[in-house]
This record gives sequence, structure tokens and C-alpha cells, in this order.
Amino acid sequence: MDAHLVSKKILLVALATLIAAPSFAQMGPRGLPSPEMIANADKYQPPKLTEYAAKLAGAGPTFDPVNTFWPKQPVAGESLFGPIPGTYLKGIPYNAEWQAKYDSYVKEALAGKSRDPFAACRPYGMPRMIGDSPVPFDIVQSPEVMFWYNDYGRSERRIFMDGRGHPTEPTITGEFGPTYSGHSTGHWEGNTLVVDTVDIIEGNYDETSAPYSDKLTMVERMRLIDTNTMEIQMTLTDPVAFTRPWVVTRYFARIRMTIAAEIPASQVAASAGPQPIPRDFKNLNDRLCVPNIAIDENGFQVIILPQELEKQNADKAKAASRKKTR
Amino acid sequence: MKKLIVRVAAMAACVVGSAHAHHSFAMFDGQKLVILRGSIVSFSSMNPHAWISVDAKVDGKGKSERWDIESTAPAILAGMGISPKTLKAGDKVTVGIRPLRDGRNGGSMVFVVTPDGLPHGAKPEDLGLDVATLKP
Repeated sequence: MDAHLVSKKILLVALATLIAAPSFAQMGPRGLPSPEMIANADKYQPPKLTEYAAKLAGAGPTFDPVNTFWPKQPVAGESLFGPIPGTYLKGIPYNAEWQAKYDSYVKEALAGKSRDPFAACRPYGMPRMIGDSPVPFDIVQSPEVMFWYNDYGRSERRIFMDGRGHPTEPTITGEFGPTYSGHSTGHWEGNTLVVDTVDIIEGNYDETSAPYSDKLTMVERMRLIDTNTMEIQMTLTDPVAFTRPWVVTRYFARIRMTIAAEIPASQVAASAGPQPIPRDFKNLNDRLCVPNIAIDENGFQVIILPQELEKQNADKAKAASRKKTR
Repeated sequence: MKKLIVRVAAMAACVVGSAHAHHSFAMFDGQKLVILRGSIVSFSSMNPHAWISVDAKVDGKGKSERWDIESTAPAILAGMGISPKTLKAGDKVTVGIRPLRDGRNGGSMVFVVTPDGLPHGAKPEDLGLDVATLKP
């Protein structure tokens, strides 16, 4: 690699870590900086980014923070994590009770009824964010923590790389209880990032509502198998629902979000439809989430059409104005 | 002919799978493709899915009716070239949808052809359709 490329790479890493590394909390009314600190603000010299980049370089291989990974799309008829609609997950080592539960969900889905709570604005979380993601995610890496941002389903995760363990009693994230993405710690084994995740809110793997319990834990082994391809092998353990661990492997292609035109035609074709999302649009994921379904008395989704909402609102407004004039 | 049907079915699965993302599409009939011709009433770019509302006729025939089309997330739509600028109220469009199974005037977006004749989303030719015939 020539020197120019190396320095460019260090710069990019440095820039990314500049964004990723610090975590600031707003100071409360009693915690304002002292007048001396404010007066001397211009004199403060922050640490050099190159030092941080060197620290990052020593922390393991980089998944390259300026790029984004796009899940390879399944061949028609095959599953993603994850099925394409009309199919359902096979080979999940459910015990009899949970298999029966899933079979009944599939039967309902085939009859046009769904339980998947995503439309009610539930975030994807883990493991769906990786296993069933139809869209790319960004990885931003620092020596202490890695951040994963999904372009979809308002999901993000932090993987702590600083050697900490999982929090313990009473539940793992303490009195707040579990989270959608769980608590993840990671370490490098050679070129493989090994991530351990626990304390995940119970949920479903995909839109067929294949369920997992709140005892689900997962170990992911992630590595680059060439410059542009990442492999993630997930070992899912669920003592409530499974008879043995379930191993799922997925592959992701690196794409450069800023320069869509640079993506090889073959890779775009392999993505079977969706186009890379220009970086500028990513924050649209942050838009207000409005549930577009109601749940009926049997727990099934009923889609609410905008025209029905508009009518309801108009009726309400009419009733309100009638009340006023009375 | 049988081969074509198999191909269309496979592509349809593929297309739904790609516009896919989300909540279950069980309520939509993935076997049916309905072509709506009409004009945009509104475009709501919200999560988890944006909605495209149109006043349209099925296959361009009969009475014009209000249809609500669930699409994908705004971020993904933006990548397909669909934004509030490309879908303005009053714009003529042709939309391919998987209709709701329950018969209400709603569906899941497969593709949208904007007034300039450009298709967005799934490729109509992959569904055995001639793009030229879809220009609004």
C-alpha cells in the first residue's frame, strides 16, 4: 500500500473515532463548568487524533468505519434469517412446545394474520437487526466500543470492547430490565471479533413471528473473509425455547454509501431490488414512527389505512365543533 | 407459459422480499398484482413505512377511488429515488401493488412510475410488464 493511501486511511479512522469515541453528558444546572474552565477554554489542547488512531489500529482489525455493510440478499425461495414472505423459518431447534407455538403463528400468517409487532414501532433490536436486516448498517469502531447503526427499524447497538463483563443482578442491565439489542461485550480472537450478547427483550426473529424467549443469549463470530465481505456466525442459545444452540451464518457486502456509482453492477444486481441508501438520507430512520396497525381481540394485526384515520379525525373534529356550538 | 408463471412467482417473491423489511406482509396478497393509474393525493414519509395515497382507477378503468399504498421506510424510498419532491400531490402516477386480502382499497407498493415515465422500486420488466405501457 502506498504512503498516501495509508495516511488517508489513518485520517479516515481518526475522523471516525473523533465522532465515535467521546460520550458527553449534558451538565446539570449545578454541574456547570467552573468560570476558570470556561475562561481557559481556548488554551485546552485535546489529545492528538493520530494517537487515538494508533490505539485503534492496535485494538484489532478494523471493519472500516467509513463504509457500510449490506446484507447479501437470498436467492428467491430461500430464507434470509429470515424468510422472504410466503416462506417460514426451518431448522430452528425449538422444543415441542415452542415449535407448536411457531407452527400456529405460521398457520395464522398463511391465513393472512400477523403478530409481528414491528408495524407497531417495535425496534428490530438483536438478533433481528443482523439476522433479518433487509438494509445496510454502519459500523463505527473505537478501541473501547463499537457502534452499529442499522438503517432500518430504529436499531442500534453498542459492543463494549474495554474488557468489562455483563452487568449482573437483579436483571443484567440492572433494575431497568432488558433492552431490544441486549448487552454486548466483544473481544478479538485473531482476526475474528467475538461478541457476547445477553439480556434481550423477548421477541421474534422475523416477520413470521418465530419467537425467542427473554433467556436468549448469543455469541457472534465476525470476520472479514475478503476486503469487501464480512461473515457473521451467530450461535443462538435459548434454554426456554431450544433443545440445542442454533447456528446461523450470514454474509454482508461492504458498500460505499457516499459513492453509489462505485458499487460493482454485480453487487447491485445481487441485492435484488433495493438501492444503496445515500448517506444523506440515513437520518430519515429517525423520523417519527406512527403505528399503522391496530391489534384485534385475538392479538392479530389489522392494518389502518390513512383514509380511515383521516375519516376518524374528521369525525372527531366534527363532534368537537358540534359540542362547542351547543 | 408454465415457465413464465414460475418465473413471475419467483420474481414476485423476490420483489416483495426486497421491498421487504418489516412487519408481516401476510395481510397482502403476494400472488396478485394490481395496477393503479391516477394521481397522488398525499405522500406521508413516516416510519416504519411511508404511505402513498392516490386517487386512481384499477387498470385505468372504471371509477376513480382513493387507494392507500404502504411502501417501505423513508430512508429506503429515498434510495429508490422516491421523495416528497418526486411524489407531489396532483402528480400523475402508475403504481403496482399487492392488494390487501380483505378487499379494502389498500396495498403494498411494488413499484411507482413517476410522470417522467421512470419506474421506482421493483423493475416492472422483471414482472413481465412493458415499462412503456406504464407511463402515467
